[in-house]
Amino acid sequence: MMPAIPLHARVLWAVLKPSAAFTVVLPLAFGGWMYLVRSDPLQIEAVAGAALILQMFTVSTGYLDRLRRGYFDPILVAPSARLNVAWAHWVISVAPGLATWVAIAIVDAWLRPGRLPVALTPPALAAFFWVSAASWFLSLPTRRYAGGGLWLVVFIALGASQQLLTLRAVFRTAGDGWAAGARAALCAWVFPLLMLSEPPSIQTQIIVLAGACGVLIAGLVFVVRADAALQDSV
Amino acid sequence: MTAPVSLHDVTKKYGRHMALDGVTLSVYRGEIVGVIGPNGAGKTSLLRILVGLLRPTRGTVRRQDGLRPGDVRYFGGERTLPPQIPARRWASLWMPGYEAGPSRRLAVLSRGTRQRLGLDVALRSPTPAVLALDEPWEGLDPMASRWLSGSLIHHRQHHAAIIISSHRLHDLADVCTRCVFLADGRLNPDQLVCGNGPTDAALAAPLFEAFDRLGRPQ
Repeated sequence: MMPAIPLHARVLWAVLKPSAAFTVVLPLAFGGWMYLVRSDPLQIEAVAGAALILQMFTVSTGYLDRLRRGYFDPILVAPSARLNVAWAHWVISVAPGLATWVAIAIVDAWLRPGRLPVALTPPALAAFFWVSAASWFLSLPTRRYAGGGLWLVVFIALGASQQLLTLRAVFRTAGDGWAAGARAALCAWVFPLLMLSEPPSIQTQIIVLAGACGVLIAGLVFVVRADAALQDSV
Repeated sequence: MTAPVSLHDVTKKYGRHMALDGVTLSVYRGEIVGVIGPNGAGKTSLLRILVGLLRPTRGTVRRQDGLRPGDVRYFGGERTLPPQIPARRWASLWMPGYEAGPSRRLAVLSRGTRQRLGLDVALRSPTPAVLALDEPWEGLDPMASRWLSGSLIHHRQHHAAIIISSHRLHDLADVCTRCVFLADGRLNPDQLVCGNGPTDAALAAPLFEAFDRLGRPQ
């Protein structure tokens, strides 16, 4: 028998689930990607990159804005509920993007049998975990899509100032060792798509994962400790 | 007698603004405490600290051990309901099979209908250990107001510790067993003990007088 979904998770899903516009965009994007990959299976890396950018937005569900409006009141009054709420908030925020990511892996496995799907390679998983933690964390003190929006602004600024090429060069030539891995990880934290296009060292992957864990813990602490006066929602 | 919830010398500051200043208050089972005070007195902060939604800057909040999810309930008014969710879906999260409310989104419902739905959820069975309501009569029609007062008395009789903040002094006089007065974040020591049960309309007059005194310079 399936365990019952806890009340706080059901309430969080009702409040946080993707907007109606997003539930249209997501299947449309997925359909377009599948068409692209079916025409040229080598495009799967580009598709995974696009899914990573989409995840920057879907996971960016926001917290403080709705906390101030009182939407989470009924689940936060439960004794010692905050850590459970924090975990559920992250899991629910990650879920739509994770489902897309897994679907891409399944299609990849079907189109290119005998190879590990790109979405399931360690660097891709590390990048997905980092994006899922960092973009979620960035949105917590603000509102929905803030994390994705901020990241997009950074990408545009990097592109406009030619710094994207510099990041790519540093990431590519970092080499092995922890110091070089840290340099490459710094580039990957700013521009996670690098993890999909260039094979990073094991040290880089470990540092990216450690960063994701650190940011996730910081996000959980933020939700547990967040304290805001009620404000009118009108 | 132990109180399921109590505040001891609680202070709450928002930046430089002192919302609550040295408040000590216990709410016991089987009583309904009315919190009365002018706008900005700190009533909402007091209720939200009591149920654990806000952390006090100083002082302690004590809650009875062994309280389970659902034992502490709070409703801060219809504006705290998420507008994009269908009303019936929201209520059915707590009351599976709930069919009484409309199926439309909360945002398109009238203020009174949203308030009633939020109160339906907060006042559902079984009786909670602690119930805190912020301006619960706001937006309700006379029939719904009577239903609310009756439900509060029902839960009090089933040993809930209830605290209500409201400007509706007549309604408070109908249900409260005790009233406390809050002004500028401080509890006035002159508590009006309303007796051991629902009071009569005669109590409203002293409540109005006490409220008037809060506004006067000491």
